[in-house]
Amino acid sequence: MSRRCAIVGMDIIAALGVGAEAVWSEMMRKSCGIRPLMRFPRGKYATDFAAELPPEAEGMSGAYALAAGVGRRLLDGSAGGAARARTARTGLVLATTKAEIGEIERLALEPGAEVTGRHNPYVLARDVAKDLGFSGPVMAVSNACASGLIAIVQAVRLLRRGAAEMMVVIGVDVLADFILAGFSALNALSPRPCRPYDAGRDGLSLGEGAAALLITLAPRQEDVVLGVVAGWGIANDACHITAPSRTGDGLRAAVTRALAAANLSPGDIHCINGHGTATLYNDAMEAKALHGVFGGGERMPPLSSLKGYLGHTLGAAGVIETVLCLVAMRERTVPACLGLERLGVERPLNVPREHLPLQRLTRVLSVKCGFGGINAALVLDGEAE
Amino acid sequence: MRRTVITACGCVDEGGFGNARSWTPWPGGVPRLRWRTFSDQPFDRFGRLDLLCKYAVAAVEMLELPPFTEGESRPDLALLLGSDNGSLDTDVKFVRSIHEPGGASPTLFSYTLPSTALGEIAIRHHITGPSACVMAGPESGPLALWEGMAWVAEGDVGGCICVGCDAVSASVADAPSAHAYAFLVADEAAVATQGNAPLARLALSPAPDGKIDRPQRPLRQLFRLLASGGGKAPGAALYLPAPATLNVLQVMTVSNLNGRSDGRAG
Amino acid sequence: MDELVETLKKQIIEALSLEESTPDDIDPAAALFGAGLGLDSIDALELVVMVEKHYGIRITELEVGRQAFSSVNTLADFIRKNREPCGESE
Repeated sequence: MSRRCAIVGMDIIAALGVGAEAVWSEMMRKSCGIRPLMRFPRGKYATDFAAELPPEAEGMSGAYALAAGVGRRLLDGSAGGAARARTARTGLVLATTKAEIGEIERLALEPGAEVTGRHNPYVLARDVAKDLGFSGPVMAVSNACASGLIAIVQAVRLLRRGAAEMMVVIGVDVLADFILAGFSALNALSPRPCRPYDAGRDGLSLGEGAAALLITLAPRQEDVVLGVVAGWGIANDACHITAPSRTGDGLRAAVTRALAAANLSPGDIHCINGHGTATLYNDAMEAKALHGVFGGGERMPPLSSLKGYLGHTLGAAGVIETVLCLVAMRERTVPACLGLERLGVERPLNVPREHLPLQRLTRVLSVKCGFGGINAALVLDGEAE
Repeated sequence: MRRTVITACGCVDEGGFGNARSWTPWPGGVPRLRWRTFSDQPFDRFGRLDLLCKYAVAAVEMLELPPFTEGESRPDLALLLGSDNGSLDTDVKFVRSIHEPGGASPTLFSYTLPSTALGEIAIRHHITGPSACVMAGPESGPLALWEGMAWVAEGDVGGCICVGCDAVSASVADAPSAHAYAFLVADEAAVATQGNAPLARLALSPAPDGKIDRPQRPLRQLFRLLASGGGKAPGAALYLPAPATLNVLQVMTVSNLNGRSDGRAG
Repeated sequence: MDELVETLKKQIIEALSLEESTPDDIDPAAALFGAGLGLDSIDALELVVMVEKHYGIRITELEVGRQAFSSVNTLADFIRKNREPCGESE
């Protein structure tokens, strides 16, 4: 039996809409989900912009509602795999940085406040799994901005071990004063919508949302295989707790490991979903690392960041952006790197400013880098075996 | 599947601190942790670490990893942290700092992620392998050990430092508590070629008849088994059922190899 | 003895949790960043918070902060130039 796990279902709720088709079609219109703050006061933080959830998602307030909501949408999806997930031994890996963050704020400021306990990522995962009726393994992964990809890796590990027949991966994070104040204090926010890889980039834009993937080791006839997890690599910079390594060695190692695990060489990759947070240092480091692997110039596959559309969705990013990679593979279109006007990184990169149709888009590399020096790389393959 | 062993262990908890070689009880109550308690090596910034990171870093220091040379790194060593409350202690302190004069503390914000502890350990020991923070409630520490064993057994890495750590202070919880247990899990064959004597052997087997006794504070019990040589002859074992959240009926058997003929208890 | 300098040393030690340092360990003329105390970019941001908290001065330009934090002496000079004229005593 192949050890390559198939992704047979997906869904997403983010600033540009509810559902993969809605988000993708807004992206194709080059809509920017990073807008003036609505739920939070303007003039208080280092920015007045963020990618908050749209009015369509109003019924889903908070991490639990969002995670359970995207999970239910995943299972309600018509593909055969989703129906089977309800009866099979299905488990959940939840990726999040701060879970039900509103409860942390209440615990801190209102002694004796009654809370559900879902500020704890595991409690959130357990409650979502119960809501969705899962009987398989349940756990949470909290690895900063690399949580999403690491959660996918963990789900694949559990499937390969036979611990479950199907695994759902849900990534979720919601905005809060905590997050806006924290990133303001770190001087990491752009005062306007972010500009990944741009010469004038000046910080990140925060976002929120959730996404879900349904993964199985043994897809059946009735499943629609959206893509296959072909390989991964995870490596630590061992350098600084918030700043990325100046050399990019950690990300480079993660990408190299991922390609080796997928039995691919750099030239086999058709496009790269970057981390591209638009901070001065992240994008510079990413350019060094990717150039180091892919060589630069004509041989570089197109690289795009999705942060210009949806902001940085933190723990959810790895899952949200994987969903959009799968759509991109289906549509054979690399989305434009929204926010980029003039490339401004130290190594030549191939970053499209317009949507780029490709003859072939079946092998995608996705990279995510998190505080703590964590670098994760995932290779997706759209080709059936 | 590779056979796996534990080659080192470390502990910092309410009783004291130590490893397989030695144990030092706290003379009075648990003190504010100071770096020089654990090491002669300089680490000026230990004071800046939050409570979770201090405990995790100190427990890993107890493992007495071989020193590395400048420029060397450890790509084949993984790091797994399992924590129930994660960064909650710092999260609460950070929220309060937002409302203090001067505003939100950037230092506290840097520690509002349990994975920052992974970063601190990785920086200290030049560990460039894969790392992850896994959460499964009170069984987070055992989950880290369980996963670490799997990563090594499955051939992903040659070794894994598994840390079970939880720390909440009185400013956050009615019942403050802090403890960290660290175990170095390695590929048995690789350890044998290096000529080192492992502390214990690990093995997985199906759980007998579905009913498993769950030990109280399993990592603490595991540490005591290894640190004291089990207080019994080699071969004494501890049975750790798979974390309940994994919903698998399996047991990890830890067979002590570190027997002491003097029967000294830990 | 410059009281502001001595007070600043204590405030820096407290703000940055330099538990193993005493005020006597800090040479007021020496560079705060780079070698010596081993301070990094997060510490620089924390000092901005400290200055606002104790002296009511908000540093909003990176370059202003960089100059002010060169050493304890330059920080003392910066504070003397920029603090509110009435109110705080040293």
